Amino acid sequence: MDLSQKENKTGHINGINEFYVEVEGFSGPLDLLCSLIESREIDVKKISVSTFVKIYSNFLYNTERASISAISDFITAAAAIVLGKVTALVPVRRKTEEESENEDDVEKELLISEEKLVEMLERYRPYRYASFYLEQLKGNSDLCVKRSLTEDTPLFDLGDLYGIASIWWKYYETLINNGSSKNDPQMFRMDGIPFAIPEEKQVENRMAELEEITEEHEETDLRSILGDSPDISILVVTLLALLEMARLGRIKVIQERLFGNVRIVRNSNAE
Amino acid sequence: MSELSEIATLNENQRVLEAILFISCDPVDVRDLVALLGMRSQEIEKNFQSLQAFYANCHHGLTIRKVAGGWQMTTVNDLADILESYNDDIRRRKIRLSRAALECLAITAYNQPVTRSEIEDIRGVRSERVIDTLLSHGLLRIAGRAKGTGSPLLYRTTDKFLELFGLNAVSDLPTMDELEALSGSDCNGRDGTED
Repeated sequence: MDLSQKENKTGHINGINEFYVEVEGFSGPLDLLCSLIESREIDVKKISVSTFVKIYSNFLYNTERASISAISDFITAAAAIVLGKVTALVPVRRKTEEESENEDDVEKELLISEEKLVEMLERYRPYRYASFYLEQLKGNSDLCVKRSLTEDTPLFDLGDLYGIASIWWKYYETLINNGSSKNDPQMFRMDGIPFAIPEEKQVENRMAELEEITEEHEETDLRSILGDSPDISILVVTLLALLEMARLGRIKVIQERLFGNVRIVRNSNAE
Repeated sequence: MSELSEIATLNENQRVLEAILFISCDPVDVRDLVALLGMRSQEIEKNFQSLQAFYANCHHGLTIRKVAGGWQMTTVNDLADILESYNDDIRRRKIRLSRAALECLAITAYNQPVTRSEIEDIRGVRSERVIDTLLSHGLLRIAGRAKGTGSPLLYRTTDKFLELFGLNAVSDLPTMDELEALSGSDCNGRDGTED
């Protein structure tokens, strides 16, 4: 460090002699001060910010070197000192033991436990072997070449409405003859796959399931209702059902802390 | 089997079955031939077995195999290289399956009907796109919806899956315990290198 002190030009400011400090690697005295504060070599609580601002603004004014760049540096440095001081002066709220434990619980929940990871790998491993086995089977089977399909001519020409209608009619007859679709045609698509149950119906069904659970247990929680690995759609339907039941006053939904488990308590006052 | 291996010529029924196999692209289901040939299914099955033995004993360029519940005529496996060199189309027709696709097929084959979330639960990764690819290849099919909340789609393997892997039925696959035993000799090397 190269320190140099110059003679006082303007006399005293609030009883303190004006002096210049030039330090290598620092753009000015406040920059150095910030660095010392950050490295905790100077306690920010003991610094009078107003005095320093006064000294430095006078220094800039009297030296006639107050370029825009110098002023912006000054504002940045002063802001850093003020922020440091505010942080140092405002008392830090100590976390209670319970809060610390809760945070630990959340972290534990986010991390997959070693046992669970081992369990997952154990379950996955045979299927990995099975995939290797299938690969071998396919390799052997690929060596046997079967007759390939030649491209058939289309069953109807463009504009051949009779041809299209015939195919459609045949398809419709197949559908009608299908026993499962005959029972409830509204529940099945043309390819025989049932439609998804409407969301409102799913919520109603879920509410009925939850009613049964709350009748059996006066208090339960969301985690036990959802099980180990809930599907997102199940979670959404369950939450909607719980909200509706809470709105109807059948249950109380309580979450005591953020991201904590949700307690579901049967409302004994409900009819 | 010794009786079958002694066949020198084909009888009339076997000749018909041979011709049907020759023109068919897909495995021939015995039930479809009962009315046509006026024979009982067991009888047709026996004739197919005789035909299979005949081809096996004649050192033929073709073979008869039972896949996906039906009978199919294909070329023998030791001629694969020369056939691919003769006809590029044979190589192009082959379906290439990624490790993820094979895993999804394995999980479905052993647990069917199975939902997407069950597949993902075992694999530990999202498998939506892999399942879509397998559906588009016709190796998986939608087999309805699971009862209960969300009513997710259920998936099953198809006859094309059996045909592609040269299986007659899913039950031909080894059990999980047998796989563990097989993995010791065949899969360990690859398992270690890929992990």
